[in-house]
Amino acid sequence: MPIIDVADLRKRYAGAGQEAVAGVSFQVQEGEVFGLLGPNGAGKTTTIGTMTTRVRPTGGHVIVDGVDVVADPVAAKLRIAVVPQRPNLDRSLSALENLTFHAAYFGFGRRERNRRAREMLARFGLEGRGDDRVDEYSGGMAQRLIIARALMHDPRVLFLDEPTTGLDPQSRLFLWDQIEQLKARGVTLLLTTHDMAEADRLCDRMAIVDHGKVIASDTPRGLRRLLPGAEGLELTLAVAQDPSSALDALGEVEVEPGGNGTWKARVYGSDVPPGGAIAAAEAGGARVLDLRRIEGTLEDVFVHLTGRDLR
Amino acid sequence: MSAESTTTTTAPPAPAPAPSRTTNTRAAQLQAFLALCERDFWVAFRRQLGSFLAQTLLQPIFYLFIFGRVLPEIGAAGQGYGTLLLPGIIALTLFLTALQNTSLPLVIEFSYTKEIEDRLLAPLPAALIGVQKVVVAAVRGIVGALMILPLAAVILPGGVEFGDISWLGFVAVMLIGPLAGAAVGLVLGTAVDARQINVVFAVVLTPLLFTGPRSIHGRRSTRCAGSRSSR
Repeated sequence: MPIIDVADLRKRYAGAGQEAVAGVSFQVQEGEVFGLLGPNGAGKTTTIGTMTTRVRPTGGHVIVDGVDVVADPVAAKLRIAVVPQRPNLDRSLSALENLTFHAAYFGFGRRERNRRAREMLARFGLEGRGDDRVDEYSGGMAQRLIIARALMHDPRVLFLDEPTTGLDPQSRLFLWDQIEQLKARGVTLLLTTHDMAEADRLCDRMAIVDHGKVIASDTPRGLRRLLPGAEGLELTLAVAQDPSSALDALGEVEVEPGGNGTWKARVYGSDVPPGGAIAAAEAGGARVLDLRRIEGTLEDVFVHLTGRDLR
Repeated sequence: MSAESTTTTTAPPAPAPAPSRTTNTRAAQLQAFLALCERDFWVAFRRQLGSFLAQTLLQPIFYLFIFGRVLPEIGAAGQGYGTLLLPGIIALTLFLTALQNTSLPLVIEFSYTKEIEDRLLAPLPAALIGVQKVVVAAVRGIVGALMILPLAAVILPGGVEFGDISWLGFVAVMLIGPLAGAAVGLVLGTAVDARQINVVFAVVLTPLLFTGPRSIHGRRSTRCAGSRSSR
């Protein structure tokens, strides 16, 4: 049974002509990292808002960990945590108090919440900064504190809304590590992002949303296959003349001279055998210097599916 | 419509654990409610005590001093004006402190800090979060109003005398005034755009200042006010 089940979700904001979310359906299995991708205004934030009880849908249903989020939002809130797009730390409190009060909202006793808060500060590299006001935190530190806060009540599902937007590379790598650790602990993660490298690296499966609908849903690898003619092998060969005739039998071939008596040859097709390609090249009198598999990037797939128009 | 039909189709696996779940969330709701109150009181009375006192007491102190002491002493108002003024100042403080302590934080939380998004994820219904804000703001109003009494005893030439006060009326005003103020503040804080809040304050508060809160004086002082204004 999936831990998140979204079925025919619809949302039309009051006064809006068009539905912001127009029948989104997807399922997330327990322990998965699931990505929700799409251009700005595609309906990602509304979808997440509905799943996290903050937006009331106009149709469809969302079940999170067996709880209908519309019918029983309180039970749903006990099971989830959200890392929002924009920092929303409690500015009247210190960093440590942000964590302890959050745990108090979720019913943790005083001793337990102090212990957990100190643990979290250490885990997120904020040791010794617990008594600072959160106003004084840098963007990266604030982001880490927000994630620490989200984890204070041991959520079963963690929602991250564009978690790495605006972070420096160090903070981003740290966050990626944390996400992988959470996954290893069995927490289900749902994240939205524009960063295709991030989605490719983190997500087990993802859905691409545009105009309020899911237009593709698969593993990153599966999505890359959607791009026509973007799979195959690239060989770097040491050979005197054009090697295309030797490779023709394998599939569609494209060659270009690489200088110093080398050629780059690309053989397109989803199942070109690397062994066969090497054998064919060597039979043609070439020496193979390098061979790599080419795959379209997710970015290519994304633009292919959603178009180049600005939103 | 479609929401209802789809939920019923997926309902069958849910009912079994449902009863225990409801009781669980009830306890969780109460805990969350109390913890949110604790957070607000911690901020108001520990973290920002100075600003709480300044915000609540500065204006009443000046009102009492100028209108209740200086004006009578220079002969611009009658000697008893202070006793007439005090109930009004208390009522005003009750109402306005409570109103400001729901509306202003909410406007900021909705627009600038987005803190409301985090509160809304605490395990209690959104309506209870509103109730919680009203309760806390009302308590702040009551605390502020009660602190005015000893101050008035020092500032006003006649001190504070309870004389023929209606205690029932006093307690009722002390409770209903700030709750009403906080509720109005809740409406303003959630319904009004952040950029317009200063305009709305001027438009809403000015009539209130001279009509609403002053009409909830104790019986004796209202009578005094009547006789005074007819003079």
